[in-house]
Amino acid sequence: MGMTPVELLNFTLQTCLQSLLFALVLFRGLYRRLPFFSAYATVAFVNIALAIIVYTHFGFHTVPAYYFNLWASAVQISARSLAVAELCYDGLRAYRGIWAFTFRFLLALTAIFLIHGVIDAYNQKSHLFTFAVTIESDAGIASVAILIALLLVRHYYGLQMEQLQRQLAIGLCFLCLMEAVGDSVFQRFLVRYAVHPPWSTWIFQVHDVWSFIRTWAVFVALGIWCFALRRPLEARAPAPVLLPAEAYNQLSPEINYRLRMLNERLLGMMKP
Amino acid sequence: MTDIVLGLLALLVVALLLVSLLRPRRERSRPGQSLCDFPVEDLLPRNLQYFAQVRRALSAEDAQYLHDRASRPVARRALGVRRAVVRGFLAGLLEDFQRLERLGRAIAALSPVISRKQEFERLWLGVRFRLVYAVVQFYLAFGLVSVPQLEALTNQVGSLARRLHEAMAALSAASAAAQNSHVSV
Repeated sequence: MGMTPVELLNFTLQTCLQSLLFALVLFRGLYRRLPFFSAYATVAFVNIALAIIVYTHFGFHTVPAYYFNLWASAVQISARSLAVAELCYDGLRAYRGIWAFTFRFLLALTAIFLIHGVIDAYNQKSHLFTFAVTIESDAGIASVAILIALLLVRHYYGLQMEQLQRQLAIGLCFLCLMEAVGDSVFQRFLVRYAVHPPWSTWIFQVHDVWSFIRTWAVFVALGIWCFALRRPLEARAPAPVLLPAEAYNQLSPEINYRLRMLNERLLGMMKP
Repeated sequence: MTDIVLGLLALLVVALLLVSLLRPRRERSRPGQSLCDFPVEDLLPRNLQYFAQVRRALSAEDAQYLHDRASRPVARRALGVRRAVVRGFLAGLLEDFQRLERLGRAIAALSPVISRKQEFERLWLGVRFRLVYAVVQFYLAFGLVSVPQLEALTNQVGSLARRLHEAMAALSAASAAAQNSHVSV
């Protein structure tokens, strides 16, 4: 069974954008700076190439194509998660103290979402498609949460992101957010209505809307990343010159002591 | 239906948060700078130097003069102006507190090792100060804040500023020396 004209158009557009991103990643040498993001772009490109072969040989709305898409999505989500982790590391590693402090926090956050995802998906194990949508949704939510945590830490310590990092983060945030929301909504429909066949026709309409949202979220993300790589990569900012450890040990407690005294004094102004 | 509405609201909140965090900030220092590139004047309190004028504006003698010589509407208007002056000064003190906080964060950002306890404590102190500050603003609206209390608060900020100015000058010199030796290697 073949694609409809709209599906064919979407697939063609995605193939072009994915190929363009892969070419830009190679041409700009992004793999030297961000190897995991480059690997994610490569995985996505390879998936598209394999999809062309699978759809040509087996058809689009077929069982082999269905299982291929499930496994391709699983590999792509794993690669994307590593790209998110790399963005966290790349942005903060020059600030050794902040990174050591933040790394544990991000790791704990990842563990919480991972456990939640496993439990959530385990509850949907009876139906493979719902299981896959649940995993994808939880992975998207985890990625968004980790990126927000990273951005909050950078904002709090006044650390500006490099232009390239910011644009890649925007694309990842947008893609993960749209996938998480779309998958969460669709998963609820599946859990409530789809496990009791026969499926009514409206569930397919919901599926079409969900596919449309996912597809266009991918287009927007790919467009952002291609735009980020349109020019040669800028030279990296020099690493910050760190202070001796004694400076922090000496000043931080004193600053905190004074801030505490200010708090007490301000609190005292409320007393009669 | 409620789930979808709540989901869309959550999406909106997250989207707004991401937009505000991902927007480039021109006024922030670029990554890769050393402590000697931080303008010290931007990190130390500035507004506490105006306390003398505020004290004069709130003095009991001024209040008595208004009570004796001015009509009730004029006295009431003057009282409103005095409270506005104090509100402005308190806003300046908040700004000074925020500068000290930023200084603490700048030092933490450029340190090879930081303490979780110190960082969480500073975070909590900042949150608490802002909450209490909001309440003090409310008290001020009803004239429940006195000059001696304001003066004590100003002295606290001032003494910290002097101590930190000396430390920052020493650290800037050490940082510049380290940067020069880093470049020459």
